Order: sequence, then structure tokens, then C-alpha cells
Amino acid sequence: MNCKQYQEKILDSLAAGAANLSPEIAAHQNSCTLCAEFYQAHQRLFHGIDTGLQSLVNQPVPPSLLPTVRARLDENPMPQRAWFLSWNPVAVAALAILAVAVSYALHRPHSSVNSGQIASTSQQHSTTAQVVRDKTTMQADPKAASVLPGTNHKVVVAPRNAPASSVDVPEVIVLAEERQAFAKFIADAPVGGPVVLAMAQPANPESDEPIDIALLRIEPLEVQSMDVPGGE
Amino acid sequence: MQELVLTQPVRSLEADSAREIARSQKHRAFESCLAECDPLAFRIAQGVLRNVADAEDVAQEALLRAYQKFDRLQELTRFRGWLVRVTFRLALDRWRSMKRRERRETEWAAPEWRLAAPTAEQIADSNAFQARLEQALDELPEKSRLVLLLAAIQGYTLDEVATILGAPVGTVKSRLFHARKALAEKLR
Repeated sequence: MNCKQYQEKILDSLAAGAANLSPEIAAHQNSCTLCAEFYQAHQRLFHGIDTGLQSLVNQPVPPSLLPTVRARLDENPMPQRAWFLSWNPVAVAALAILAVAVSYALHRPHSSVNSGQIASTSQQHSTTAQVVRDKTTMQADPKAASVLPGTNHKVVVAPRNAPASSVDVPEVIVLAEERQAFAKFIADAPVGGPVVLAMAQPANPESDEPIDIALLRIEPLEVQSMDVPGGE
Repeated sequence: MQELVLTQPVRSLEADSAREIARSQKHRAFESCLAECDPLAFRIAQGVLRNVADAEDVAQEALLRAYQKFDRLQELTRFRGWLVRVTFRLALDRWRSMKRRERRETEWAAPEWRLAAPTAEQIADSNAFQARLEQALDELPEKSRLVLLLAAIQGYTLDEVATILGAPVGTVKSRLFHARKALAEKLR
């Protein structure tokens, strides 16, 4: 090591507050006057730093400090903690989650309810469906509507026991096993076509009278002989 | 046959008195902390501001803040560290605003001259050493400054400084070493 490296070591040793130098450095500074002077000068410097810092912070505390603080404390009483802050944070978080869950359960979309009802009513072999052409004609809850693929037709499935006042749109009763075919029929039907419009519009109560359907009559057929006269 | 019993409302004086007891207990706990820690707050503020009146003012402010937030303190053993941080932060804020004001006031007459670099021995012996030390201290990073001030306070060992700062003793030693070395290099 050269003197510069030794001096660096001396500086480190003094900065670390070591009481004595390591034997190697001590041996070098005994033989090197330059390093010995460096050591002594820096020893004084660090002593000055320590003394200066101590004189800076260890000033006598003014006797007025404590009485003044006490007087100010009396003026400003300890604030009461808000009632909810004194709760355990875990309990508060659990309550908040519970409140959110209850709120969601109460206000969840109707579609999920209706889809559950579809499953239950499918076993009863019939489902009440409402065909709605567009949003303007749809008076039921829009969340309950399902869009048929490839079209803008909507089929609203209402529960069978829904009150009549809640469903003002015309209804089409579809058997469960025919529901898929019915959906395809609606999807394929031309928009604004007479068939679909007739299904979507409510029947006129005046003209909605039972129709007498005449019994099917089969006219007697004339069966002609296949034999060609004079064939054989 | 039914028997009806009339009862007092739930909100009674008992709850109020229990709250009052809890408050007075906290007040007593703070009082004991205050008696122990007011010199510490003052000394930290004095180390940063180097002015007794300002340091006292900052120490008062820090203790008042500590009192107002005392309710949130979970462990009393952390009070000293908490108070030191509050005091140091308040003192630094005041020191910075003082510096800004000083700079504004003396901007027109800012001296451009610098002293010729004296030797370490001359510096240590000179009367200007304390002023230069304080200036060098101001130039150190905040963490180094705080650890130097705490370690210089009489009666505080490195273990106690580590407890106050909430850091391992090794970290405190390392910070102190680098701070002292940086200070010496500025003063050389």
C-alpha cells in the first residue's frame, strides 16, 4: 500500500470512531512522518466535529418549555377518536364486504332470476315468452330481454305466475321442447314481416273473438281407372 | 300475568364516565412520555435550527402534535421515534423557510469570495470551525444529519439511536460512519 491508501484507511478508522489504529497502519505511521501528521490532524478534526456536534445539541433545555407545552395541552384537549376508528379494521372491512354483498343481492339484474326460472319452468313443459321487436316496443324490464343470435329480435321470458299488470306486451306460449325451434323461427323471420308483427302486437279486444273453424270436409274423389281403354 | 319493567335508556352516564377514565389514563401516559421526551424534541430541533427560541417553538409544536395524535399510537415504546421524526420534519421545514427568507434578504449583496482552503488542523483550531461545521451539516442528507444529531445527544447509545430510528444497529453504525466521513471531507 502507498501513503494515499494508508491515509484513506486512517480516515475510515477515525470516521468509524475506532479507538486505535490497526497494527499495520500504526506501524506505517510510525515510519512515515507524512501519514503520522495526517493522522494527528484528522484526529483533531474528528475531535472537533464531535465536540462541535455535542455542543450544538446538548444545550440546556429552556425551563419554560414544559410549562408552555402543558398550558397548550390544556387549551387543546385530546381529541376524541371517531367511533368507527376505534373499531378493529378487520371488523370494519368485513362489515363493508357484507354490506356490498347484501346490496348486490338486492339489486342484482333480473336476467339471472329469470334464467333460473327458465330452468325450473322447462320441467313444466311450457314457457311464457314475449316477443319484442325493438326497444321502443319493449315495455318489460330490458335487462330481462335476450337477443336472438343474428337478429335484433328479443325474447323476453316472463315467469308464468307474473302478474298481468307487469307484462303489457303480447305473449306467445311456447312449449319447452319447441322453444329452440321457435327462437330459430323468430330469428329467420323478416323484420317487420306480417307474421312477426302480428305476434308482437296485442290483439284487438273487439275483434278477438273465437273463430269457428269449420270441420274438415273431404270431398269424394273420383278415381279413374288406369286402364287405357282398348289397350289389349 | 305479565310484569312490565321500565328501564333506563342504554346511553347512560356509565359510558361517559368510562370514556372520561380512558381519556385521563391516556393523558397520564402522555404526561409520562412528555417528561421523558421533551429534552429530546428540543435537542433535535436545536441541532437543526441552532437557535434556542426557534428550537423551543418547534419542540412545543411537535409535542402538541404528538399529543393530538397520541390516541393512534399503538405501542408506547415507539413514542420517542415518532416524536423525533415529527420534530425533525418540523425543524427542517422551518429551517428551509428561514433559509429562503435569508436568501431573499441578502440576495443583492451575496458575497462571491471564498476563503482559501485551510488545513484540517487550522480548521479545527479556528474560531470559524463551528460555523463551518454547521454549514457542512446543513449540506448532508437528512438521514445522515439525523443520525449525527441523535448520536451526539448526551446519554444516547447507538442501541438507543437504533431503537428511536427503528433501524438495526448495523445500519445506524454504517450511516454514522458515512456521515462522519462526509462531514470530515467537507471540512478538510
